[in-house]
Amino acid sequence: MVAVVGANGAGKTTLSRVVSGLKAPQTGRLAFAGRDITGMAPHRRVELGIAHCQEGRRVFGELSVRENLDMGAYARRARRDAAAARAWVHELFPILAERCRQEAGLLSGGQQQMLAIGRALMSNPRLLVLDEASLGLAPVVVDQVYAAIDRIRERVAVLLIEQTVFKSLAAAGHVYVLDHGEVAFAGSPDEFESSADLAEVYFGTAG
Amino acid sequence: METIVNGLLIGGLYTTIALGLSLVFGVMRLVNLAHGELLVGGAYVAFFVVSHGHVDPLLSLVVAVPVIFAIAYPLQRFVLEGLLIRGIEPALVATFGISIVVQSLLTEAYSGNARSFTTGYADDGFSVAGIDVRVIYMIAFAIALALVAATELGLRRTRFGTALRAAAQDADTARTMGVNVAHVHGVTFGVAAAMAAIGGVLVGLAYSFTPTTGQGYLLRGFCVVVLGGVGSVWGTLAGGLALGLAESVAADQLGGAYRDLAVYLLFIAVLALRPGGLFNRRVAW
Repeated sequence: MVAVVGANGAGKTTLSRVVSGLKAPQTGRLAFAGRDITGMAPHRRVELGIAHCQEGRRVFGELSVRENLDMGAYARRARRDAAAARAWVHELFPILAERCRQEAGLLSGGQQQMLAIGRALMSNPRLLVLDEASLGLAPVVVDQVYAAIDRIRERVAVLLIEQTVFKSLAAAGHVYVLDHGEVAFAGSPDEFESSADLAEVYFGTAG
Repeated sequence: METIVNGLLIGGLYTTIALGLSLVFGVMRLVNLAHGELLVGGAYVAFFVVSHGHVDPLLSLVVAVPVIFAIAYPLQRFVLEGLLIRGIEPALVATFGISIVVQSLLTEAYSGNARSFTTGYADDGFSVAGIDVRVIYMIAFAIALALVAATELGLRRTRFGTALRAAAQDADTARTMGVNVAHVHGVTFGVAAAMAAIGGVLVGLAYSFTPTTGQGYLLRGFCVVVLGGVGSVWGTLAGGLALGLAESVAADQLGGAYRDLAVYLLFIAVLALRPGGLFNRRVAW
C-alpha cells in the first residue's frame, strides 16, 4: 500500500483522477504494469485492473445497493469472478448484503462509503485507488473502514489518498506528501514521522 | 365516449414520439430539437422502401428503423458527444442546425408536397361496444404499449439498462466502472431516433407528412415530456394519453381550430401548478 497525503488543494484528487483516466495529465507519461496508459480512456483502464473509488463516495443514489455492486462488475475482466467478488465484498461489509435491495441514496454516509469501496472491488482490480475514504465519517465508522482496508491490501495494491495523516500512515509501505501539486516528501512511514518537515508540510505552518 | 377513446388511442402515438425525447433528455440532459426530423426522416425512408419495394408501410420499419439508428448513433457519438462536454447549449444549437439542414435536404429531394401511406386497413374503422375507432389508432396504441414495456424492461432488467441509468446519474463514476459512456449515449440516441422513426411511419399512416411536419410533433413531444415528468417511462405514457385526450376533447367541444390552443393551455396550467410534471416521481430512471 502506498499512501499519499496532503492538505486541501495539494493535488491529491487530481492525482487520483489522472490515475483512473478521468483527467488527462498536463505533462508526463503514465505507466501501469509495464504499459503506457497515458491517454487511455477510463473504461479501458478498468479492464487493466485499475479501480477508482472517488472522493465523495459517488454511489448511484437511485440504483439499489445490489445494482451498484452489479455496476462495479460491469467490466469484462470482472464478469467471470463476479460471484466470488460479491461474496468477498459482503464478507468485508455485511451491511451491504442486508441492504441489497435498498436504494443506495438512502444509506448512511458510512454505509455509502462501504458501498463505494465494495463496488470498486467488484471489478477484480490489481490496483485500488481510494480517495478520501474516511472523509466526513464518524470515528467509529472510520475504524471499520480502515479495518476493511487492512484486509483489502493483503489482496490488492492500494493507493490511499488521505488528508488524515495518522490513520493512513501506519499501514503504508511508502508515503508521499503532496504540497501544491509537488512531491514534498517521499519515504517510509518511519522516515516520515521522524521528519522535521512534517508539521510544516502537513499543517502548512512553520514550526 | 368516442372522443375519449380515440383521444386516448392517439395518445399512444404521442407516447411513441415522446419516449425518445424523454430518454435523450433523461440520459444526456440534451434537448434534441432534431427529434421531429428523425421522425420525418424515418417516414421518408419508409416511403422510399414502400414505393420501391411495394411492401406494407409497417413492414418497411424493418429497414427504416435500422437506417435511422445507423444515422443517429454516429451523430451522437462523434458529433454531439464532443459538444456536450462543453455544456448543453452547443449541443442544443447543433440539433437545431441539424433540424434545419434535414428539412432543407428533404424538401430538395422530395419537394414540400404532403405524402402519406395508403393501405387497405389504416383508414378503416371498426366498432367495439358501439364505439367507432380507427384501425390505425389501435395499431399506434399497441405499438406504444409495446415500446413502453420494452423500454421499461430494458432499463430495469438488462445489464446495459443498469449502465445507462448509472451513466445518467453520474457519467464519470460510470466510466470508472468500465462503462463506455460515449457508446451508451450513442445507443440511447439511436434507440430514441428509431422510436421517432416508428412514430413517423404511424403519422404517415394516420395522417400525412411533409419535410416540416416534424416541428409540430416535436412540440407535442415536449408537451408530453413535461406533462409526464422527465425521466419516467410510465409518466411518458400517462403524459401521452393525457395530451391525446385533451386534444380530442377540445376539438370535439370547441372545434378543430381550438385543438392546439387547448393543448398549450393544459401545458401551461400543468407547468404553473405542478412544475415537475403531472406524474413526476422523485426518482429519475
